[in-house]
Amino acid sequence: MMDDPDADLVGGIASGDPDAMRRIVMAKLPRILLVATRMLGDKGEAEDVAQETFLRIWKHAGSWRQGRAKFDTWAHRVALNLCYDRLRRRREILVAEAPEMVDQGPLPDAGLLDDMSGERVQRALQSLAPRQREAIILVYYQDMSNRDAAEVMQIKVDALESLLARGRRTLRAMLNGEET
Amino acid sequence: MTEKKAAPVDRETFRALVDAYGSSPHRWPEAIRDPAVSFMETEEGRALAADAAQLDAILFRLQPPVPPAGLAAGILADGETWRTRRQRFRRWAISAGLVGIGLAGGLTGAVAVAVITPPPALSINGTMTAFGELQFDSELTQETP
Repeated sequence: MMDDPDADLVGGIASGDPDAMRRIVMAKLPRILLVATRMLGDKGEAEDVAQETFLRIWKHAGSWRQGRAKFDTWAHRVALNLCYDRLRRRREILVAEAPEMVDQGPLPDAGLLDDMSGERVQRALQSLAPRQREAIILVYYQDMSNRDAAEVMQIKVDALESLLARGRRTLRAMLNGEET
Repeated sequence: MTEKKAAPVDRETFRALVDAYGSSPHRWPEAIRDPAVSFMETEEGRALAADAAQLDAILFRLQPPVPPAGLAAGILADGETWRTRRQRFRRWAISAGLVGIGLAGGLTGAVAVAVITPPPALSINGTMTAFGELQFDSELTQETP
């Protein structure tokens, strides 16, 4: 059985321990919010996703079984699925309003990498294909190991590496003002 | 590059490694980390790592979002609502279970009594009752001294 550092906390939530609930919110909310913010690029939507993720944690803590997947992996998958629901809805709205190709070319204000604001980096991230973005978020911002990130994404490590490399290449090109 | 064996790292492998994982050895797969760190000390390795480090630094210009105070409170309030609802449901389920057990017990008892108790043996002449055989007035008269 895999060793899950969150197992005791999840057991506490399942038995209705308010202290366990507080501790899991303190530990996981910043991580879940970060994933959602980077995936969606929208603070309000990211907060909604974080809240919905925790609703599912409250509901399913009792049925979560140690050994199938780490709790952190499961929580990330839930948050990412909620992000994808919102991205799909956005795409449906976009398609309904005006068909448009995703532009992966350089950003209008692309230039020297030295002169890069956080806002521009966020815009560049948003221009990536969602799976590439997801891989970069998990490995770089969540500091997950390649195995954990691949497990969250339900892919093999090779596929994760390919997504990371393509994502980084595209980001570099967009930020540097090169054509992809 | 996947964690299969710690083969010596050449330029192409190192390039593929930093292309995917960036320049920080702590992100590199454990199985390849040591030979890759050795390669990074070469001139080619330094150049490739420096190039990847540039993008790493840019990625970390993004500040992590700070959860607003109200968000954690709202999440905990949801959790409290859910906890209360679940406790109420458990109490209800226990009460319903007890009532169910009581009803099932009563029913089982009734069935058991019906099965165990032998039916009254009635005579085929139709004069037997649960209290004994019916006697006719003429028989009663004969028995009287």
